[in-house]
Amino acid sequence: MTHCGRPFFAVVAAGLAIVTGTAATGAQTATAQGGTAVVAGQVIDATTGRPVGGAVVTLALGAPADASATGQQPLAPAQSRRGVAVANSDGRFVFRDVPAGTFSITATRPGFAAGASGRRRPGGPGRPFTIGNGARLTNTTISIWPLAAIGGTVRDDRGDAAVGVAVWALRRAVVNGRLALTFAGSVESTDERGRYRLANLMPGSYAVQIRTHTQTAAVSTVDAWRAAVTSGTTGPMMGQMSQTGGLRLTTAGLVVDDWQVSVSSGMTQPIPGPDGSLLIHPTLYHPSTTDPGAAAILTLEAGDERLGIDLTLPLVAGMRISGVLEGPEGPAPGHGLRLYPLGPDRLDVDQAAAYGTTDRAGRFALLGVPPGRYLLRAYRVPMRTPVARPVPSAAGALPGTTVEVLPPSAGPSLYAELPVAVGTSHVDDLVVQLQAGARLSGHLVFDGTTARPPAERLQQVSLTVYPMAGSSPANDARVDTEGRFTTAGYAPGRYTLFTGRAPGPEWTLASVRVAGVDVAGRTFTIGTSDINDVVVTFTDTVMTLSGTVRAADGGTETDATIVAFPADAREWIEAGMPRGRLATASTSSNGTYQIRLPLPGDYHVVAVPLDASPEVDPDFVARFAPQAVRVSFARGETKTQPLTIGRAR
Amino acid sequence: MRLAAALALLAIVAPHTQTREAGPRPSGTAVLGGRVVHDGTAVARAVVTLDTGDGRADRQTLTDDDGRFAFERLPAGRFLLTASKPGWVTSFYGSARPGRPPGVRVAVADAARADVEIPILPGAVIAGRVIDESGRPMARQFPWLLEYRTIGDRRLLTRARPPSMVGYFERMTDDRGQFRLFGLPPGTYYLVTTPTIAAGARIATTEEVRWATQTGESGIPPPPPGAIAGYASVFHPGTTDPAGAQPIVVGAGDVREDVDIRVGFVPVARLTGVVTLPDGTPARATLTMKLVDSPISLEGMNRRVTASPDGRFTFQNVPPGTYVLAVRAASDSTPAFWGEATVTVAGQDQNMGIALVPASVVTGRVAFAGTSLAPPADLTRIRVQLIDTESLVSAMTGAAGPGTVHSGAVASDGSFTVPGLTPGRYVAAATWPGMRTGDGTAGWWLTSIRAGDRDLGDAPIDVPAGADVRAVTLTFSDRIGAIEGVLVDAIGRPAPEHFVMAFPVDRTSWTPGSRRIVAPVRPGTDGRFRLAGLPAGEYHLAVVTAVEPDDAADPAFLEAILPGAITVTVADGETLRQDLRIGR
Repeated sequence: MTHCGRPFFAVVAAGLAIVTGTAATGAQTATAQGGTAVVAGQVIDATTGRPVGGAVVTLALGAPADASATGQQPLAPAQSRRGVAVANSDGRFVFRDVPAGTFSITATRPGFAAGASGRRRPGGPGRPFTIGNGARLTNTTISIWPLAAIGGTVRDDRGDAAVGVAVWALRRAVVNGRLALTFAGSVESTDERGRYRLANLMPGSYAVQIRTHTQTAAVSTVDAWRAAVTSGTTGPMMGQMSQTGGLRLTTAGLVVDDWQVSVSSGMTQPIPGPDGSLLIHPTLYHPSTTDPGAAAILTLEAGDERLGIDLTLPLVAGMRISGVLEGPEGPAPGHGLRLYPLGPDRLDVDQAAAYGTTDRAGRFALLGVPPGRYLLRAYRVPMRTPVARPVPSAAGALPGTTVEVLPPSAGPSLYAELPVAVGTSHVDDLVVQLQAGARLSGHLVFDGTTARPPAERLQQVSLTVYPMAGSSPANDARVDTEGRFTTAGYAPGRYTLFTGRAPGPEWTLASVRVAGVDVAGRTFTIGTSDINDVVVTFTDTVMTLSGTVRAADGGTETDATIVAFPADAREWIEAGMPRGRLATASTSSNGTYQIRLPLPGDYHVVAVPLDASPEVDPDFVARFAPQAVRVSFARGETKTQPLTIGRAR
Repeated sequence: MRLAAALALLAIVAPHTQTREAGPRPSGTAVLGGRVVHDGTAVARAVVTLDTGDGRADRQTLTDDDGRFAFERLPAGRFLLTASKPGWVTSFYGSARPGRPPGVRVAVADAARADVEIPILPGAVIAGRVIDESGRPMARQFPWLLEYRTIGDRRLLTRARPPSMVGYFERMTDDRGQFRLFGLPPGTYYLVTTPTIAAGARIATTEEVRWATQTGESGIPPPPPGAIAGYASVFHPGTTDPAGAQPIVVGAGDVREDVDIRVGFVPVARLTGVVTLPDGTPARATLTMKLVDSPISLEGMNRRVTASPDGRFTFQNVPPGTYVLAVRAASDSTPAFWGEATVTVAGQDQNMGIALVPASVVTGRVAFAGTSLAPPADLTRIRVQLIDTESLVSAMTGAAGPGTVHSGAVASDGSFTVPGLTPGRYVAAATWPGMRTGDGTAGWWLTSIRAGDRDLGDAPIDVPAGADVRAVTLTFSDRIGAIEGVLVDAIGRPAPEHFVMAFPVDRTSWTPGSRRIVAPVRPGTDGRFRLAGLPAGEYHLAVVTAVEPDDAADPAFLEAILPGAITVTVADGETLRQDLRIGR
């Protein structure tokens, strides 16, 4: 680390450094802003009212950014930051020499959901405040919320501590209108005593899960993979895996006959059983069920600590599912397969129980499958390589700027789906047939007084066909210079179509006609044949609703979220709550609001108090639909409507 | 970039593992079985992994309730066995130190059964809390385990090498500031954490809080602002000085639960400046900041920033210390430039100007001296890499930062250019997909480096100040030397408990990165050993009872074993047969 080896250069180096001065203060500090106002306050724990020392407090121009789903606060951009302070042991902070303006304050400390000026619940919206020259705003209180924790001990079927096992906190949430257990960003491993602690949980409802999925590939395939890893030539195999949803192969695993089976880190090892079976610890939910619908739901408030959430892993015999995967040109080699449990209808957990890869002859096996009902799935999407495309200077970019875009899909997408029931014996000799998925094609229509967008703008439009039941991967379709598009192929099922990017700020989606029926913001069925007459219409008119929000006492309400959702709420929920007919806005500081409705139709509009979560799920609809005002909108209409703040409970 | 550096180094110091085309797996009548035990007691549900050594994927099985395992229907061969279990120290069968490779290959003949006992140790536990100066828990911090390694003539604090990932690598502190690292091999460890905080955060002082909250006294002048808050790396129990780090010694299964780190703010500064090219125009340079004379070799310790188009750069939150700034500027249209500056920081912001000078270029060509293999069809897939010997150590400790490895493209005619080099000494390497596919019979090795008509041997390439190095020829051969034989003890029994080492007779090759330094090997249970990947030359062959991988390039170690060594000559591509017998 010294310069002994090259003294000559050390001398030169010293000569190169010219220290031109020292400065005691910099621009990004809590002082020296040239203003005369003082902003001071205190950070408190919202659950106890006690001060929180050591919190990092930021003063920035404008409204505070939204906190993330895990309660973390993104740091304001450097150019809008006007001071960063570390709260003293009484939680107090001071910003001085603050210029007049509109600011927000945010406060963070690891282990807490971030606070912000105006934020009343963890993860809720914050509000800016305005100060004048020479003002002294010294009683600002910023609440932060201690995150919750779940802890317990995991034992295996022998009663031994289960060590190094990943324990997941899954958040109960509504996805596509269905209750689902979704990843909450929280997973921890058990220690050598089998203990775990899932800290840093946002308030909410959680299930605790330990998961197992096996991954099976032919011994010849993993040998080829190992050889490719060693010689640095994994590219072709990696490409095939990513096209077909295959998991990355491993270079070590349990060998059963001609197959190698492995599990991911944080899962317990399968144990070889009799006659090609594997003894495994199946995916388990607290308190002791393999059925996600029967999982105990732990509802946590800020700062809650739920201990003694113990699990004991049962050992079950997992069987084999095997067969051959056939494509249009015969057996499909090197192809990924996934086995999904057919769960209870009331709960969606999008996790495979087993993964497989076909060998060179298209044969596959999935080992260690616990008894149950499953859907075996395979798909292949065409390989698309991003191409650089120049950005038109009309878009405000510097000349020569390029953007990487995916070209329109080439070739058909293939899929296969086969229900499989597994009991106490193997399921062998399956023939799984890959079929071409149905494709959508059509064109864009521009209905308005604004000129039709130029060709390069049309090419920026992306259309997403989104599966409501997760049977095909969501895939973007691109539009050509003439405004025509063709999507990838999809398996039969219910879908919704939305536009990812409009051809310009003045254009919004007006309708999506499939076989003459408008399905914008709704779902539609894709069967086994292509759909060729899709018309996607954009309009340059907008629909807005505006007015004033009154508090229950008749005064002006400045802290509300305005939500508009379809008036035919039951049909909308049953369709999976497709996005596209949902809009939200916030009240301004004088109690007025303006909300832009996305599509024509009948809406329920409601003013949600700030301490209620504006997350729109069936519970929200049940609670607020009776309090809502019904408003009908035709294309281009503008209306006013006074609202009264809703009741959270 | 870090991975690239690590891989490049692997190509230099260790032969690639062998591979073959994946045909059907050979099967046979040999059986390799045994027990996994601790203190004579069975260890159930341990994963036993069998490495066949033929480049195929490893086979695994689990021990039963009696700790027994068996791999059946094996072809005759020599196999490496490891036993692992979460919370336990991964055991390499026959290894000299618990939890550390290399193990000893077990030889099994056709129709024979070998039974081995693999001892496995319960892992140690190091647990504690990360707390701030007021004793408050610090959540979401990453404590890292360190250990000392001797590399060449340097003793460095480096990241402890995990024998198993479970529980061992850094785990985030929970909401109580607690962490628990388990499954650790016995040893002496140090613990470090490096908290971060937003740049420029000022610590609120009692005086300014009183001043701000006493309304009606706005005429009173404000007290001085508080200090800027910042952190340096902090070692257990709470020092930023590596020399003051307290060792944590654990034996097998020991549990240490009081290993706290107390973290305080340090006076930090902002380091700003302007980088200029020789013509005085601003340079869009990258700057790497490194602590001078630090015994720490850790990934992420060297910070890097990029200057803006006007040549300005800023390092935020710089803890006190003396740093060297290594500066590089390059673009497609202009030659590369470099500069270096040393600066001492002690809580005061500093502003500096750094003038760059032209960097050097190494140019040359790759050549192939194949006897059985055709040269690679597409030479443009070859990457030529130069690593300066100063940075080699950080590459070896896994701490390699950006800029450690200088990479150059090869044109379709085999010519190459590596630009942007500062004066120094460089070790050369090259890689391409598919470079090696065999265990000494298939693949390519860099066997000779010539500068003009001068053979450099194992000496690094010298890059002088202000001059380029041209006409460097890197020659690859598809033949590489090896030494193999049988090691027996004084009465003729196989001696797998020892190590066999080969090292060059030429002392100038006794450096980290030398192509003639190969890792020591353990003979198998049948006494057979093989040292592969040896360029032609004279070697000392020695048998030692204990050796650490780092010792192979430690001149003091090599001098010490020299009296017991014999001298052999390996011709180009020759597999030299040399049996060894240990004298009394």
